[in-house]
Amino acid sequence: SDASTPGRKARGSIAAAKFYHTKTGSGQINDPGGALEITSLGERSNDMPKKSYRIENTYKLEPDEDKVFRVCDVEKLAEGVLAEHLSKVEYDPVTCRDVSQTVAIDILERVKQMGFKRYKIITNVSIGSLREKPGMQFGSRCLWNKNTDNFVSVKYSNTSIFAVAMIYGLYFE
Amino acid sequence: MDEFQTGEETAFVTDEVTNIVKEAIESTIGPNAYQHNKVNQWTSNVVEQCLNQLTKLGKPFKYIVTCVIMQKNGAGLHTASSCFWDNGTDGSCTVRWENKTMYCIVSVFGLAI
Repeated sequence: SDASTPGRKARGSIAAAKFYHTKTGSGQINDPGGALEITSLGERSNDMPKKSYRIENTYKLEPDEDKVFRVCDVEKLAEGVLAEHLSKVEYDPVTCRDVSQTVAIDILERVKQMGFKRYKIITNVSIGSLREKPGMQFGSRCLWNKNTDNFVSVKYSNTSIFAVAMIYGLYFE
Repeated sequence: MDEFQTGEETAFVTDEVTNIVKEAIESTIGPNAYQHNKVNQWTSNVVEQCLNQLTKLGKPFKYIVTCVIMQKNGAGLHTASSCFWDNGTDGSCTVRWENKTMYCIVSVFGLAI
């Protein structure tokens, strides 16, 4: 998305990391060490000279009362999106990569539509296969303003996959 | 604060952050084998150490650090992230580390304030 206000641009940036194992057809597990592939789909301004720009002072330290990052609403939204996209999905290394990116983008767009003004949003979606019953631990910690910032974490699973979505909303002063 | 400048010192420097993260992982879980009862503590330690080192950089950033530790047993995992931020000042970096029994993936997102 490309919302621009006078003197300020905030563009969406999408990056996906895929980490997968390959399995041979007979069901034996090949362990070549896996592979990590990182693709960046959004625009990056690495080549552009960094601008120094003036932002008008809003004298606002906190968001409006009705525009605070509402955790329960975002949680319901994320659960709905995950169920919608993943209810019939079976784990497949090729398609799940695209599915995870699609779900991340979809959640981001819908949260943006909820209208949290001056909030930066980060969405993280992880999809994995359940068949091998892997042991896994997700952890996250943030350095932020505890009065204005928050996060939501939602999980979903069906018979062959599990999915974890983490959505962070950080107020931009 | 009338002027807001995006100079070199307020940009997200990926290399610096990558080194910090690698160091944190090595010192926390370096030679260990996957143990289900310790994984919780390991993720906390990795994340906490990363965050402490990042704050020592002294940059005007808000940070989000996520860590995934996964047992090596043939399962696959896909992670995607989409971010609504300011491309000029904000950034992210992902570090993957492994040993014989587990994988560790750490992502750091830095948002300028």
